[in-house]
Amino acid sequence: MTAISRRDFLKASAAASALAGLGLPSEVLAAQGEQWIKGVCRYCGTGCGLYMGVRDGKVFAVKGDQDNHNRGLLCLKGFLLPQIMNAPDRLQHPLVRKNGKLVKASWDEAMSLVAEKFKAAVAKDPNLVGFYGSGQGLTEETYAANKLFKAGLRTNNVEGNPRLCMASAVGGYVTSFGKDEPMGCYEDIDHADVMLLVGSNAAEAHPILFERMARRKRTGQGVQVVVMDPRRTATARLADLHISFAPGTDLAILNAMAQVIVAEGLADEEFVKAHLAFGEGKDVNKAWEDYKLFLAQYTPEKAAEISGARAEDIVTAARWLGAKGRTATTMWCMGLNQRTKGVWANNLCHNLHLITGKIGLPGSTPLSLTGQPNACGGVRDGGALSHLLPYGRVIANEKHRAEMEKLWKVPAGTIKPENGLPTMDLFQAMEAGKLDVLYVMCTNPGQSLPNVDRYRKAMEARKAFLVVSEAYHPTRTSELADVVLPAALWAEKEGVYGCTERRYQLLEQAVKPLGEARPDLQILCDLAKRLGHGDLLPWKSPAEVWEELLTLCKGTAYDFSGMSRQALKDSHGLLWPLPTAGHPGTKRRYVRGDDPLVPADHPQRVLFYGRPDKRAVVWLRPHQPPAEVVSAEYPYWFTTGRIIEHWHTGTMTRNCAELRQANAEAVAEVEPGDGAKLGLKTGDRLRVTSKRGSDTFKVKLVPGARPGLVFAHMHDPVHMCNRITNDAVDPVSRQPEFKIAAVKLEKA
Amino acid sequence: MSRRRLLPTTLAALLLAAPLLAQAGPPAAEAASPAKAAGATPAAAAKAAPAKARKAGPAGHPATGADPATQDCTECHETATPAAFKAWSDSRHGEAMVKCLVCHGDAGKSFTKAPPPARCVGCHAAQVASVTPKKGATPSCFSCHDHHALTVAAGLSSPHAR
Repeated sequence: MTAISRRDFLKASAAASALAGLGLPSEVLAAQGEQWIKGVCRYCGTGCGLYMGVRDGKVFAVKGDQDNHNRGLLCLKGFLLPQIMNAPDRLQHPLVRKNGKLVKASWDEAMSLVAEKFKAAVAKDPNLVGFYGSGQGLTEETYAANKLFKAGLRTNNVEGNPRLCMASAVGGYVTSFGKDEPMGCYEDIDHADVMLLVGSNAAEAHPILFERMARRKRTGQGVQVVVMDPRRTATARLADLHISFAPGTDLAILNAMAQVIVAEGLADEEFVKAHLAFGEGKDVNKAWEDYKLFLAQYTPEKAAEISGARAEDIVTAARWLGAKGRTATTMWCMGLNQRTKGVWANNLCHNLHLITGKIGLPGSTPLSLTGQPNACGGVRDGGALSHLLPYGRVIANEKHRAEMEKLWKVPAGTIKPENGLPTMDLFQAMEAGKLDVLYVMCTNPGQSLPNVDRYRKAMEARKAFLVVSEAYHPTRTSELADVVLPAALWAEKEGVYGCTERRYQLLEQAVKPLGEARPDLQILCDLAKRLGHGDLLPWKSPAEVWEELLTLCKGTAYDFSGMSRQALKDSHGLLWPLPTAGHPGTKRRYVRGDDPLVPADHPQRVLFYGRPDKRAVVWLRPHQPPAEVVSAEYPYWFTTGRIIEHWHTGTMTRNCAELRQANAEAVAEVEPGDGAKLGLKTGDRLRVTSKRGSDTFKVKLVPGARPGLVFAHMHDPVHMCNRITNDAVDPVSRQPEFKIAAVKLEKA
Repeated sequence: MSRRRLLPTTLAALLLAAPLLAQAGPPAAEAASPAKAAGATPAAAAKAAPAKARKAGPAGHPATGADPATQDCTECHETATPAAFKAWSDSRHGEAMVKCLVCHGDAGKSFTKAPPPARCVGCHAAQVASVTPKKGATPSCFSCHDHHALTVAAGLSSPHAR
């Protein structure tokens, strides 16, 4: 065997901290001035644990955390994280717009200006100001903003990009189970006999979870995978059965699967009787028999006619998922959420698990995959949306408002009883001149909103004073700002992320913020002080905020009050509920013997305590078409999504040398037959136009792609798919239908 | 791959690996050239993709006519190096989309034909750390694991501590 001597090996790697850090004891490492600090990946909602290697005050490497759920693995983006830190476009000082140009300013000048604008607007009407945050902000900083705006400035205009991402999943969980957030966990993948992925390209959007699915498929006995997606994605490579269908017709397919399950006797009648209620519209006023009658119209043949899928494939998928004695896990993502019927699509996934009783058992669960690293922990759980208050409380509920006013020690009636404006309405208020100041934190709406040119125009016209707190400049949003505040980035600050499976994890600070950059928590506390609300945000550290959060969640269905800062430091992620110190956390919610909120002597294996009647709801949700369908003028379907090399608007991934060389420019994937009709070959340029807008993309002809459908990557700040996407929203979740538009195509 | 065929490649890998170990893990961000792309807005141009493959450096990827901004490595390598492509594609790295760039860097200056084992550490820290010397020598990852298939030839005893 070829080898080098151990002495030479160690010598060669003495400077190679990644290796030395593993092979040498910690005292040797410390002598070399190197440290490995525990954190979490900055990117997707999988929430992979990692260690940040620090040398000379800089993050020089990362390595996966072997003791976390990701078993030491990182995807290619996570692996390259150190490069995002000291990139040339990191903003290192505040910027203020003067004579039309953004120029360098001091912190005091920038913050004085921001405070002045806020004071003037709030004095007229608190609803003239708004906050637009992020599923990437740390829990503590998102909470600080939520408290400042709702309890201090007294406006509920607190929104965040999870509205574009997870709102329909929230709507699905809340309507079906009474409370948000999944009941299952990643470990369910390891026990799943059947995995159904619908509207999820996990192979590229959640690579490490996908690796877990692939491992299960490889090592389990007779594991079956169904992928339902109009596109034959990289995820479909794992599938035993890939069902392609016309965009927007999956509601018919999911109902038909339920119809087959019921018709073939695969429903769990005892579970139905013990645990379920039935509803239609907004009311829980139906019965099992009504549901069966409703399903009768969704025969596989009917669903095939609507969707273009094969009836026998729908039957096969239903039989696999419903098979008695086999576990099943359904996972979905933006393909279902970013839809005008997103909440309904979520309900239909839950229905399949409820009628079969395949829920709350190892390997059986409906598990919504989250797009961002802290959409769940910071925004959903923390209640940083315009209709929410922390930890399952809602603004519309007087008792909840009163509870929060008491906890926040503000006078009764401080919190306004009316919901604030959801994201698209907030930007439309700006367009209509009904918003004076907008504070954007850790997100890039100038690129990521649907029908983006419409809202860019409002921002360009300076309809509102735009404050952008951002680590990079220019972004497609910061370029439009009146003030840009340099925010500390991942690894430069401490805080908690909560990922898909109710797992909360602490990111420790590894290095100092670059230049004059400051953590968003510090910036918000400064702003609060300048606005006369310093007493609401009195904290000196993120740990002090966490202490406050432990008091807010206590006694709620989200109870993690036993999760001390030290417990987070000592662990590799903890799953709530975790109501007492020392509790190990809850893998499966609503399950007796696992979830501490279910009495140990409860007579049944599950208790759906989220709703007053302690039953989960099966909803009768008919198929409805998307907001926009193809026509003679716009004859092609258009959809957008992630690719593995890039993330969101590319502000981070495009700073990684290898990734700038890898699919950095958005391409439009076209089916070769369509390409021939349009006279296109790979490498040509294509103009894609919807009723709203247009952009050009380089063409890639993809054999096996769905005829009549064009797919464009979503990460490119130049060729922006969101000029084309639809800003129509789901009436319940107010989430826009990014995923479906009708377009015409021309060779450019 | 037979053990005999594995040896020369591994030796070459190690020779290349030694100097590269000094910058373990992924390379640091290059100083991106300021925004100059014609027609793009300043913000967009700042991170605009390179229009063409870079000219290869001395140790770089051979010059190609490919456009790395829109073309995946596999588009050429599926036919240019079919055995390596298939070995990778069928491997766990291929399954999990651990693409060429993770081990080899980009198709420009940072290209590495024979990746140093230090790059493995990002995901396989415990496995790298658990390698124990045999007869006074420590094997490289690729002494045993095939470069692209990652499989281990039959009959090799594991140097990983149990």
